[in-house]
Amino acid sequence: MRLPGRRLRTFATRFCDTRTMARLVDPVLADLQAEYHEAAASGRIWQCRLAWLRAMMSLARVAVLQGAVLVVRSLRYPLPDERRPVSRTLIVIAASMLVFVTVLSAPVVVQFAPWHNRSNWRLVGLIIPKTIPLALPASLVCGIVFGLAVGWRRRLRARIVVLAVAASCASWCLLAWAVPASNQAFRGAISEALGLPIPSMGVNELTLGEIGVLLSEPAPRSAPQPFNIRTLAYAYHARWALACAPLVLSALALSLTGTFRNRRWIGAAAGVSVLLGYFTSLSWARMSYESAIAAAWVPNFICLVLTAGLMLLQRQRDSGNSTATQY
Amino acid sequence: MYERLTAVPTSPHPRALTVSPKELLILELLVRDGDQYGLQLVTASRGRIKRGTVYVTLGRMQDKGYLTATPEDAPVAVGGLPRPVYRLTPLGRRMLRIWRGGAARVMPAFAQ
Repeated sequence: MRLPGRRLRTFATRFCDTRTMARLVDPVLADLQAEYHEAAASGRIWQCRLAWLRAMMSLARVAVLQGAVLVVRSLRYPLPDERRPVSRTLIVIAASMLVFVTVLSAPVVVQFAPWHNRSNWRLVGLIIPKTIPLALPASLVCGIVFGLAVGWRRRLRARIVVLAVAASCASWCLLAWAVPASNQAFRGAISEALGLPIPSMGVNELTLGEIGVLLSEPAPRSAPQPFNIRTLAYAYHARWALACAPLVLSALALSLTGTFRNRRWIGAAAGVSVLLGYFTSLSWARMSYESAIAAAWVPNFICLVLTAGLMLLQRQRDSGNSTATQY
Repeated sequence: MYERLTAVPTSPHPRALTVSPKELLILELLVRDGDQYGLQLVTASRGRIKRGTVYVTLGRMQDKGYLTATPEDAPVAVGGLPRPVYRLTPLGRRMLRIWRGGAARVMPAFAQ
């Protein structure tokens, strides 16, 4: 009788180290095989399937729990040789984010700066905290790409993937709730200062959930449409796409720096070019595609294709090098 | 396969010798019923330990040195993976004794 779990084990060995395999994966698979064997011997087909399903669920839980445990442990107890590259990467990310937040917020602040009227100081004080969340999602993308491009080390790849996933989650939270709220607060503060009525919310001031509701239940055709459907759909998909951007762009930055390893200035140039390319393709796709999904996701897709191509190139080069050393 | 279970590399990260409620339950079950498989512990705990988390907890306890895992004695006729049998170490027994003693001293009578 052929027991289940062999292919799964082969697949898991590609990603898990010996310790994780022995402690977590093998026991779950051994249980699956024992239960499957018992059920199959007594002819209970459904019991066999149930055992398989249970094992899959156990493995999924093990993967999630172990991932979380590894992240927390490595953050609490970094190994001595990991401390420097990790702290260097984090410092570069933080510094880049600070620079990008300043650069992106500056034009708005300068527009209301108290060149003519001293009473504008109060207004500037009011709007600065509201412009920071608006600049954060783009700064997060820029910071993480630039930080990885400059501070990356090859052996910390798994840790950097975790960092990119965390950045994507943070970016999603910002785009879904914080940015719309800050947008409306900013508009409110300006209108109040200028003695104008507070404007009603536009697409950029709606949360992700509110846009989702408007898209799923469009108003009847006879009623006046408050928002253009394409604009709504683009805002919805673009927020999701931008939230995935740290993950996608980190992968591209890693593959770029891996291709030109040991040259930090090339890493920095690669980071800048990735960012420029991404934001250019974002505006190009918005103008070129009628479909909101395509317009929002094409830049991410282009980055993924580039990443795959670079990784393939790198693998071919590595295998070429190892063949050369063998002979 | 047997070598994998016995010669597992130790964790490079230090482990504080604490006992969580789940670990305490596992220690108690192993003292009460003797050496057991992971699934036996799940059954014996009556739902307090889940299938998906039992091996994470057991792995953590092995890192702390409370348990050892040895592959099952019986030869596996069908050629499957051997299931690990978990056994208490002297440190595990001592931790259980200390923890129980500490809890009895610290916790008020109604909470025990």
